Amino acid sequence: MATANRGNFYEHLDRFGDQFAVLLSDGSIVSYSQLHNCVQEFRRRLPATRVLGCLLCRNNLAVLVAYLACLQSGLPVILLPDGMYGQLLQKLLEVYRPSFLIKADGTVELYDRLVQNSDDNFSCGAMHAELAIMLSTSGSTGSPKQVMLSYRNLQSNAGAIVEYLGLDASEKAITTLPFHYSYGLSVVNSHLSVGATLILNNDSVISRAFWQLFDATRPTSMAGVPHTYEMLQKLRFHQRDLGSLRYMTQAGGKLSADVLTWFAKVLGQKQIRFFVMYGQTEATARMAYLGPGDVAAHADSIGRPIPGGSFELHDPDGKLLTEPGERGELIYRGANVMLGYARSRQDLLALNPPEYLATGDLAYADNDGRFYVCGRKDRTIKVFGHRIDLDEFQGWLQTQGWPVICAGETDRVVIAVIQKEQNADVQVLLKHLADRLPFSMKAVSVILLPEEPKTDNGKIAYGELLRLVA
Amino acid sequence: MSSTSIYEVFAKALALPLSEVSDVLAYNTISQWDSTAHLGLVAEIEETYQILLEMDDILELSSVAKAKEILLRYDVTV
Repeated sequence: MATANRGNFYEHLDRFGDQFAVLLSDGSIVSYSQLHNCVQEFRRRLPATRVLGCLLCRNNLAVLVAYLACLQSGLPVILLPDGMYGQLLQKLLEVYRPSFLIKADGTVELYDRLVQNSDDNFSCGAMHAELAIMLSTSGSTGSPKQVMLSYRNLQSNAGAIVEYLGLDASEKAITTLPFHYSYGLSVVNSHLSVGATLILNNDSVISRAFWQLFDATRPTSMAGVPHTYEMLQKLRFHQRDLGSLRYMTQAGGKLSADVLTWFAKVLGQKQIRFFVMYGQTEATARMAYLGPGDVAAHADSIGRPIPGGSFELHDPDGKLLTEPGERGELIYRGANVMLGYARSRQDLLALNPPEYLATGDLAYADNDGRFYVCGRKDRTIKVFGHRIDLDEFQGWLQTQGWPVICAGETDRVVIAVIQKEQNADVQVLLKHLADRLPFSMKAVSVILLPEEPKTDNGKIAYGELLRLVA
Repeated sequence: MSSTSIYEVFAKALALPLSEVSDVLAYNTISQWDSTAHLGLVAEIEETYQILLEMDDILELSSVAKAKEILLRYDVTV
């Protein structure tokens, strides 16, 4: 592995000297030596003992410096979106009671937790030694559930990405995804691993500001979720000068076959390599990838496991399936499998890291070792790139007093208010959702039903909801 | 040429009542007009007026007033 003998990617940043670490939209350049100095400076503002913190993220230098400082100082941090809805943030702060919070401008707020929390048995030293960061998988419903990742997780996944993308110090990635999102963070980590350059951008590809920065900095790569690619296609971006781009990556959900085929073709013509990747926050970011040679011919595949990772398939009884074509739950093993989920402060103390990751995806393999995802074990869907577990979502609304059941599919959620009297205020519910959901309300339909639709064997017929709102 | 009002196109694409669409309505100022809706809006405009917008025009299409200005360049009466 390219970084094996250099220690962790977030340490000794000055080993890359005058190479450019960061380019900013105002034209300024930050070298690795300068970044190293900023990080050392920032570490002095952080608590001296191992306590929990929160970092409100934007793609800017202050956040990058704060993130690296926390990793270097061994301070676990929960990465959250800057501008997170006030009540959601408050709830998370109440659940995890961090000792400090770093705002997106780099301001550090220290809380005097030791006195306040002397009643619980949570002390600085008690947090699991490997815990580095915590990320949310949905960010949507204010669920306190977080994925706990270790220093080893971050390092191992960054190294694997460097290897299969073939990254070196000459790369320049423009950030197109949020810092607190595992995919966005993986771009940051992998580029820092090899002394490459990050062009820190917060604007959408549907903005003039993005393309001005693009032209001024000439990035060598771009990452995108399906929505990013849909926007790029709609923009007919292939008609503009993309001369500096060497490769593009796609992850964060399945790209529709026609969009994928279109990109395989136009990027191929421009000799821009196209990687379609598969992963989950629970695996730090990446688990598999489909290389440029395979994208066009095996568009429906998630490809092969990343270096150092492996897949197996399990039947519902946990039995290993070994024949090509046999369908089972996709299981991943590798050094990037998370430490576990946290739902409360207590969960940070005694960790029981899983031996492998049960992805919840149903899949099969072909004769050449490529894997294909063909469904979900549970009721998890993606809505404009946001992962929503419908059972969790429904439970979240129910605990707030809404008598609802929810169904959905890609980019679509149907909420049925179950009421005999039909006096529920749908407008209030819509407003409630509009204020809190991270995706457009265009994805949401609310209907009123006198009772839950049932299947013949008495289960809730969720599919019926989708048919009612065709 | 088409006589469909640009306000109607915006109202339909952004799922807004016609009364809420005016020249000052701008991208990213209301939750209904985010980047997802923007794609739908572009598709709606292109379909209604039977045109294909250039990339720069899609990026510039940041308000109803701006849309009118851009469409003039495509010889569309709005």
